[in-house]
Amino acid sequence: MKKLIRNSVILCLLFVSISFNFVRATFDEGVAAYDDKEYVLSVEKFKEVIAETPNDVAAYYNLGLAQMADENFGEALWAFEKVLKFNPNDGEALENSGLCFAELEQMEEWEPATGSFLANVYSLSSNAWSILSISLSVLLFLVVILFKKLHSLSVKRLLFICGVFLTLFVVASVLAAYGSKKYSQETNFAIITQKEIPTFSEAGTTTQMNLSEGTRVEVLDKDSAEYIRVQTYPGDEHLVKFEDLAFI
Amino acid sequence: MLNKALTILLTVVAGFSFGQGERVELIISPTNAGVGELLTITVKSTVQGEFDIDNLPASFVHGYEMMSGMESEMDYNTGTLTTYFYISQTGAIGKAGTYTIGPAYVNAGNRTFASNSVTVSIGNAALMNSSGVTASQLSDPAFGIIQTNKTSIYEGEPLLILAKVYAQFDPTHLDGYQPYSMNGVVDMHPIGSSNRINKTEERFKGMNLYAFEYDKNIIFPIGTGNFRINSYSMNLHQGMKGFMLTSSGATIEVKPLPGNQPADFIGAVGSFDIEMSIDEDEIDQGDVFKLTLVVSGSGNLQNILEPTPILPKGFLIYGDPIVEEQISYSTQGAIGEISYEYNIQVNKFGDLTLPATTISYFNIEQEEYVTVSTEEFEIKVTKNADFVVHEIDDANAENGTELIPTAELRRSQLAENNATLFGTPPFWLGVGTPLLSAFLFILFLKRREKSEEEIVVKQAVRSRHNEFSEHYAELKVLLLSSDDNAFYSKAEATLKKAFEKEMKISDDRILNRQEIIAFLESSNHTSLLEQVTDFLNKCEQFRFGFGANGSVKQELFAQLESILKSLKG
Repeated sequence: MKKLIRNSVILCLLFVSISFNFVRATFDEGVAAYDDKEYVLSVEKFKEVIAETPNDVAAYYNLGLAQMADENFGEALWAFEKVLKFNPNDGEALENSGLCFAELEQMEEWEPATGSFLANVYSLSSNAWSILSISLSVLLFLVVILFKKLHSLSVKRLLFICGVFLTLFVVASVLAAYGSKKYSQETNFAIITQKEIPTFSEAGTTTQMNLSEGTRVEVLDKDSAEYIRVQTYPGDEHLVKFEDLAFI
Repeated sequence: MLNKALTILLTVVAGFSFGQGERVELIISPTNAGVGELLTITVKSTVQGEFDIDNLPASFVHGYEMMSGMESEMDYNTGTLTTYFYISQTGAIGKAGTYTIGPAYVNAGNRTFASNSVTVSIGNAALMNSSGVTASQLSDPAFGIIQTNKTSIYEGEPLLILAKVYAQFDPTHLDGYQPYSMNGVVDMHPIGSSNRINKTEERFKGMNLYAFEYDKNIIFPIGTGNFRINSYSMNLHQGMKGFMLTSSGATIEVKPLPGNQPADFIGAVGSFDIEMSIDEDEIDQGDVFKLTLVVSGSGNLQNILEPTPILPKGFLIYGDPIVEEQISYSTQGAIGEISYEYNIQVNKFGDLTLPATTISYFNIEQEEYVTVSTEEFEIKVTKNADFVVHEIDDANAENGTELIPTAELRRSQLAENNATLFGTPPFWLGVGTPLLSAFLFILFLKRREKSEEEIVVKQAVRSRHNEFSEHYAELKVLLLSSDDNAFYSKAEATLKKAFEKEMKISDDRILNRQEIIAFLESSNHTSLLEQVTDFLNKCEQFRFGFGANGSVKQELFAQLESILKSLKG
């Protein structure tokens, strides 16, 4: 029995090691293809990496660059938006998103989906905020003990102020942890990566309005398995086909 | 004859046209119309005199409506008040073609002033389809039908619709008109302003009838499918006699446009063209020039989308375009032009080509999408050393290739996976435990402080009890001794100790008479008040030897015991 468990563990470790090395090799092939200006191949390789490790931020970023070089600006925009999903403050991704958008929509200026305040909040992961919440909570406990134990009035006053602020920080960091988790796990937006997609007034009936490449839409709710209701800036609602959207 | 009919002498009140230049203007609306469609011809002049219009087509038929008068316009920039004399006449042209009408002349004294000329396009009269008529309607003195120029149209295509009335009698007037209505959303525009009965004699289904058209509109149905036009009704009169008629309805099929729409399709259905112009072809790098796109034609012009100018790299559009519309509605739909003026900054330099901009529209006659384009333009852009070029544009200008400024590939970097600590039991335990502990700690301390206070009080009460016991024992001894003064003092002190014990006095102070009285008044021992006061008075009195003897001491001791008993009870 022990032998069986030991062999299983060894096999698992071996499998993980092989698959990790395979992904690494594919990533390197994507980089090499990009350097050789073989952008289509580079795109393929980075897509393979993403399929294996969907949380590889660099793979998304590199995919965006390869798509951009191949002049697939809608696809590139989607890849950079994915990078921003992991880190809304990624300066390079922000800049490249703006460039892609300018290539697609010369009439408008690209705006990130998340405002600067929330971008700063979400740039820390939910785990980081959670750990900070726990740390602040422990610190608050220590402050309370000291406040009760010490007799110096000036120190007590200082500890009281610290306690009030720590309480606020604990609440704020718990809310930030919640927001960051929600932001990273929920699919709120999608990008149009095709040249144009039709919109529908109801299932099967198209309207004259088409959504063009690079348009970011907010996902509202699903009408059916085939159609989905989305909202474009500044608030127009449309019914589009599920398959026409690249979700972020 | 026609000129004479149109020539009108204006003998309006005295002219006050000082300080204004002589201007004569000829206005015709609409400039695109169908045969028989009503036009309005207006001549405006700053000079008072006889009006005359040249080159009216031979097929021009004068309408019934004619107006003349005077109006004043204020130029708010200069503060100049201009007075115009005008004459306005309706009419229709009976033959298709393009006509140049004008100039109009104003003869004032010995001088003649000429206006501009206006070109008018007259299309063939639309062939109308009639809604069905029942045998019952035909037997009525009058009946109405709905006429449309088509029974099947494409989405966005204009549809001409009117009410046609046939009567066996010669109608003089009508009232109570309830217009036809349509299901769904429509964009409707009236054609012609006159709702006068222009009756003709027509042969309809073998009957000679009086007929007239009424309430003519051009509509643009929104959506696709069968489109129902509901009936209209009116009260048609011949003199005092009237007949109420309700027309039949009509159904129009609105077909969707073919699905293979080009990328530059602007939603236009009809016949359109696009022109482009720029205000400068030699500019400095970084300067802004104006590019104007003009979409003209007929169809659903009022509903088209903005065309997208095709610009090379280094050309940036600033702001939204200035849009100007000149649209009139005729039997052919919305006719005219829409201009879009863009402000464009050029970041590159050299001899640059502004490529042609294209638009696509759906041509109804060909039943296919047609693409039209503008001309290309050459722009000479002089290098401006002071102009700070954006990194990308600068590189483009030098190398002629695209440059991605942040094209450095990244090394593999894994983000945290979706398994987050937030919301898990360890998280709530981690946050909650210290907070709960702090709360419990505060509670514990509070409780401990309270119990300490209680202990102090209990100790004080016990101490008072002991003191009282000592005083009481000493009093008993003094009762038997001859030291009366000491007895009375101790008796008073013993009573006070009893009250200190009862009142749970924790500090070392000694109660005075007022405090004891106040305690008795506030507590349930009000019956003791008299006894206690009497006891204290006696103690004070006998302490100084007034009437004290052995029996008094016994009596006083008994009184004290009685009070103590009552206090305990």
